[in-house]
Amino acid sequence: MSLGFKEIFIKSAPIALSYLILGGAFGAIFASKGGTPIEAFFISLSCYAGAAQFLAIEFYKADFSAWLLFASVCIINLRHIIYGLNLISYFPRGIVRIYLLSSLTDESFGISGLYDKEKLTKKNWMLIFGLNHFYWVFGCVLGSILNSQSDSFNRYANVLLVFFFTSVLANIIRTKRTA
Amino acid sequence: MSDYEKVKFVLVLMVGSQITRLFPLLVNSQRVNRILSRNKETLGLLVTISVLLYMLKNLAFEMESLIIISSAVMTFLIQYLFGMLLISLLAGSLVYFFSIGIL
Repeated sequence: MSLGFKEIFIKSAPIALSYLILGGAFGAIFASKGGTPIEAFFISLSCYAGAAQFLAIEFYKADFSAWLLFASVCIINLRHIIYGLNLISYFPRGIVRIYLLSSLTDESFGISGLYDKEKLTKKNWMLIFGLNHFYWVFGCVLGSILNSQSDSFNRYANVLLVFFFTSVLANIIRTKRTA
Repeated sequence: MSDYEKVKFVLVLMVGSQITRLFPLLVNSQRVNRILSRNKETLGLLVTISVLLYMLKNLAFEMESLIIISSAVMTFLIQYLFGMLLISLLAGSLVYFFSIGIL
């Protein structure tokens, strides 16, 4: 069973909203520290890690400690090992699996709970994870260009994520009940 | 920051954030699969609950926290009873904003 773009796009809407807001906040703070939109683009594209990126902003200065940054980011991202071990058997083999693992975030893990993972095709996985990745990169670059900080936006993004994971939890329980 | 330091910064950040994600490729996935196969759904449920609890770690006994909790409960119920993700999130957000507005 292959899902259509429309269905995947609609289900990714909450992620889009929170990523655009959170990514925008990262971009804005990063720009205020002297970062450029091009750097924000490369960081968000290659790292794609919300909490770790926010932490890394503190290290964005001359003579930063590379080892301390590396260790801090690794510790923050330890949870990804659990996510990866949980999902790796569902991922298609090959280069796609490497991409899916490298773009695994809290939200991507959460949204996978809304689908019947056994039935997802390679194209579906790429679309689900690729759309989320796009939202994050777009939000970060946009924020670094606009360079405007808003605490209330940032706060709402976090509340929205709580609602999103609550919905994911409800969906898992609902699926278990009906199975 | 010099250009060299900027490149170093991005590289360290990239390696640090990807090493944990790609770690499952290094372990014997068949063996892990065998161990997890029976409890995969339960593990997914536990991880989701852990993430949710982690997100709620800053909550305190104050009005805004209570509003977040009650909006989240409503989101949960709508999703659980009707299975409508967007509606549940919109309803939760509306209740949150409405209650914050009253406060």
